[in-house]
Amino acid sequence: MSLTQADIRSFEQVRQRLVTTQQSLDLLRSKLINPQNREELDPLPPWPSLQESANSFVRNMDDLQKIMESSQELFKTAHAYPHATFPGTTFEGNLILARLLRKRVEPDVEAWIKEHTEDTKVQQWDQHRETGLQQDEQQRLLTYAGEENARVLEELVTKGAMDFDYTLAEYEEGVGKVRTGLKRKLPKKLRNPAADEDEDDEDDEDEEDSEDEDEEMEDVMPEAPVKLSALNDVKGLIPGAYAMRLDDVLKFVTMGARPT
Amino acid sequence: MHEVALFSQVAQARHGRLLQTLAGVIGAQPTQYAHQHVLVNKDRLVHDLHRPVDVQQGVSTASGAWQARIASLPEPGSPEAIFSQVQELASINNSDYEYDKVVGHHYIDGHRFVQGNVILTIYRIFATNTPLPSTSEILLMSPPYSASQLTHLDPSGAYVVEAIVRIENGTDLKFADLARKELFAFCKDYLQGVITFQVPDRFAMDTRVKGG
Repeated sequence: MSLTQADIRSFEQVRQRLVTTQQSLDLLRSKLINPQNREELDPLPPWPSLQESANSFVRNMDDLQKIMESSQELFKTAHAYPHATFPGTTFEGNLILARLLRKRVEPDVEAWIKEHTEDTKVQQWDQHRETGLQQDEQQRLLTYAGEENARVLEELVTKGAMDFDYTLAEYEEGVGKVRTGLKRKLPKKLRNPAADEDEDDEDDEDEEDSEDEDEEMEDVMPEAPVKLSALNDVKGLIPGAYAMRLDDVLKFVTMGARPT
Repeated sequence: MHEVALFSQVAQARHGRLLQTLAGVIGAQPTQYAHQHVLVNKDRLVHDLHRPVDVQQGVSTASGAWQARIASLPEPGSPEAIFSQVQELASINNSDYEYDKVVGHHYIDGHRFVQGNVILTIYRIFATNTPLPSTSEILLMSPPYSASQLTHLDPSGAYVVEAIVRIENGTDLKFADLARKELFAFCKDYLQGVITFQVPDRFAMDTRVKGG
């Protein structure tokens, strides 16, 4: 019984996935142990790059798992057998052959698999599959994130990043030319520091605007496309019913054929 | 002329949201589309006589004259879309069809969008809960049925989605190709993720009358 084209393709896909997975894993590993990270700053590379590598590895593993799953039967029953012309009698040939045909995993890998597939561990994983992090870990993460966020924001605000209404480029070009997309003239609320120096700021906003700061905004409802019609009251609906097959529906409108 | 078509279905719960999404994506509100259809057997082929109507609880009215649509069995060799020859008559003489046997009577209620050459119709079908008259005369002459005489064809309330591009001269490969391209660009690229279209079995749209 020889392999079909589809089988060969499945094997090839797995092989490619394994290669890319191995590469991404190597990349991650090199990032972690590479001495080129300057020791004064941080023994670790910047976290976005770590995150990226980790993600790409996970993605690869995911793809690999999908491919394995799709050809489960094939992989379970496939059996490697050396061709008659393979030099199995030479020393090197024998070595290669042994390595290729080996089905048993290395002892430490075997121990690792055993440890992580025992029932209690599996149960734990199943329980926490939804959340990922434990409750207390989540809490710690959120607290840390909140504090860190506040710190970063505070720094930005004290340095005046939130004071400007327009970007530097827009100030250079001329504030009057900015496309804001606004259709109404808003009352000038804050005087921005940069505007005072900018000659081109011949405002299109009225200086003597005495309108209320908070204008009433008109709510414009789009015309509802589904009008109330008598047809909404027609009987015959069964809640939770499956939709009729498209072919049957088309048969009815084309030929009047009632579905059986 | 010829028509290239793709179809889909959408559940009742999604219908309202879908219309809004399409209105946003296409950039225009849909138009109402409500037609009464009477299918007659003329010369072993099903002719679809239809007219725009306004269905009410009490008295329904017709808002247009009867038109006829005569479609051929969709052509083979077109796995990616339904491709069929269609003849449309903008008006008919009742006398031409009066004595022909009625094979179907239903109402289509929906909305229509147009984007370029693609006509997108989203509709639900109502069947009648009374037996069909034998000849079409009475149906052609009477006002349309009222809502109380109708029943949902699909008990789940699902809507049919239909996307069609028409070609004046479908025998010219160049135009048939252009039409297909435009349909696919609209259905598969532009509306990707919004509606997933499918190609039904062409024999589900076979207008040839079987039997003796």
